[in-house]
Amino acid sequence: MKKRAITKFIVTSVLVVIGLFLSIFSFDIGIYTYNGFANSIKLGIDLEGGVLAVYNVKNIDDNSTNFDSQVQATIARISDLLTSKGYSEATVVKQGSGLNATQIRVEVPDVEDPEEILNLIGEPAELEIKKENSEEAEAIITGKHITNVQAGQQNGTYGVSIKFNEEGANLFRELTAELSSSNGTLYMFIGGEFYSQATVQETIAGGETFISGSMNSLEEAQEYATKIMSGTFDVKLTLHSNEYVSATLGKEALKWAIIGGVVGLALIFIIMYVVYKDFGLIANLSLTIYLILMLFFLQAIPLVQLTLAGIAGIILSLGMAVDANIVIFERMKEEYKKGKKIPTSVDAGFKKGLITILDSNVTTLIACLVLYIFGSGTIKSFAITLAIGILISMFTALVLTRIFCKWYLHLNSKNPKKLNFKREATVDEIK
Amino acid sequence: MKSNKIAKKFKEKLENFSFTSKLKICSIISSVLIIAGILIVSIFGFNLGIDFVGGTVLNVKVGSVLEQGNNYNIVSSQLTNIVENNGFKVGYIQQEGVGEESTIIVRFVDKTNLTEEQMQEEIDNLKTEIQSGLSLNNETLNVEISNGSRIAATASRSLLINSILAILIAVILILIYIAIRFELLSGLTAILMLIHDVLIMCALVAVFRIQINAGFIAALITIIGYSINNVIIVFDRIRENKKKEAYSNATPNELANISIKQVLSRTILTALTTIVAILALTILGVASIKEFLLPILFGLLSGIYSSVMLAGPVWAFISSKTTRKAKDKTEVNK
Repeated sequence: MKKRAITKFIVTSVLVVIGLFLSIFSFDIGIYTYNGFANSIKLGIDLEGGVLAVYNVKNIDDNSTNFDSQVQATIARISDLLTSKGYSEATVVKQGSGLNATQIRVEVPDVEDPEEILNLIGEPAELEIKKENSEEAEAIITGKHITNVQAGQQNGTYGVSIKFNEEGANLFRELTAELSSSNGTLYMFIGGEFYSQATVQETIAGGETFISGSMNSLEEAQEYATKIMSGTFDVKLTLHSNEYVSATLGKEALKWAIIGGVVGLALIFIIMYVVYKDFGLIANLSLTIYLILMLFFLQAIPLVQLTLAGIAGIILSLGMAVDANIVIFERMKEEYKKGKKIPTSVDAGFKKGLITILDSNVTTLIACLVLYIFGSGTIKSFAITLAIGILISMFTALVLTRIFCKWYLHLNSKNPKKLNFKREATVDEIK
Repeated sequence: MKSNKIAKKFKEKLENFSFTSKLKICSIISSVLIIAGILIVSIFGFNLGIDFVGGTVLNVKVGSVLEQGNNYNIVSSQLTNIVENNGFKVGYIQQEGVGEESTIIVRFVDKTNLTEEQMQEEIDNLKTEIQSGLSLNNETLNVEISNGSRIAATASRSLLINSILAILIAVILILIYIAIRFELLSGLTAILMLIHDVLIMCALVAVFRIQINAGFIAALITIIGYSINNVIIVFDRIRENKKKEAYSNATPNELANISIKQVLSRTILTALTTIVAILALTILGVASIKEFLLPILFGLLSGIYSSVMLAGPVWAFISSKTTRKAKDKTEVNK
């Protein structure tokens, strides 16, 4: 039994060392480069710097009643647009509320040139297809009928291919059928200005069309594609501000913050050892596993982006992880003081500590959930890192520490000195 | 041996110590701190930083001399003086780059009452002053200054209001959870402690003129988390003791005192580990980390104090008032 417990501890420690190595270091394996998870955690705009653009949001038609859901839909589409161009770290959030005060805030980390974001979202411009060449004429097909726009080349000319939704496809087929009988012309307006015209010779079914015109290069076509795509949003966006935000923490500062964190952690480990001796070592083992899991999940979960607020979340959850161990060990000490044997005290410590830890953690998890749903930007980032941290800390304190303590009891179930357990000389609890 | 004696004496003292009897003096201390904070905030306001006001960043390239000895400290304090003599609040100042690229980066908060053109003019003036004003060993340094890029205010008022609303909803749900798992009075006391800790934290932040940037919101919710966590540990023990036969005749005051003593070692140890870790981060961290962690540290201290000295006693105070009333009523009915 004793030998097996020792082997289990050694194997666990080796695994933890490997885990630490995998989380911190990056190395080459043949042609493949392995990146430690600590290095692949996505940093937010406040830690890395980036471009921040704010758009004013306006209703398209005044009698629309579902403004909020339109704003949400637009936010989702901007996110998709940015993700599809490789900026998956971008965050798009709503700020303010009401018809006149709503803004959409777009943060793209690690981009230095504010112009870049204009290339991505652009000044949105709606595409309209009309039967007459006049700005006032009724538009038959508008941005809301378009699902996708792509720049391309056809027969040597540059242009954009447009894909309609079902309603748009029907309208376009009817329109081209009507016009083709008389060799009529359809007019395209982009952002309210006449852009090009085309003579219709045949009915176009299938819900797709290609618009060329005066585009001279693929880049120009791309620009139009972006504009038209942004013009399909449910609400009207106008650029309010667009600036480069430098990182709050420079690379140098981040390095010192990490050193500070390591020193702080080392001090916690020392205190835990001094106060709880062997169980302190067990707590330190659990806390190290907590850290590895934390780093792993921070980089693995796509929603997570580390910001200054996220660091606060990590600090709080680390504090709660340490606290969970302390609550359990203090309980054990109390039980031992009352005259129980070591194994019974350990058992009772976990049993009684469980409710305490659950209650305090569940309260915090409720707060996280609310903050995640209702908060914006910083608050969301805090809530998600804290929630991950709490779940991991509950797992490490209630499951791992418990397993390790059980193993430990095979090694020592008699010597209280190794655990700093003490009996009370006089047991007079009730006074 | 001596330390053992002191520990023994402390234990004896603790055994007879009544936390509930200190409620009056503690609530006076807290009230004074909070009122002082409110006064300072209403007179001087908070010290809002770049994130809320917007600012400017200047890169001052000094070169490799910056890396020698104490030079960085000398030059950066000269730079801070120049910026502040021009009426700007320095956000933070830090060193970046190595060798010839060694640069001091200084960020300062914009003056709110200036137009863009006036701001640009002030920045140009500032640059000329920096150009001629930095020296080492009585020799003027030849520095290169970047073109002062502007930093947008990243945290808007709406962000703050939105956050506070989210926090309020969270607090209400926490209250409901505690009321179900414990009792309504515990929930209300927990919320009271939370408000206390947040107010003390804000008061200290205002007193020490710590700049408030977006990170402050994170610090605020961190403290709310700590506060709730600490108070729940106390109430958890009160709940447990209440169920014990040995304490079936105990008054709320006795229950609170016993429970606080039982969880005291946990409170102290948890406080010690967290404070040590945060202190290490604060001491080693740069200014922007400090301005983020100092409020957390204040809130943490307040949280420890309130969970030991206030939460239990306040609960016992209200609890004994309400039970006495109930008793009086039943006696009248008899």
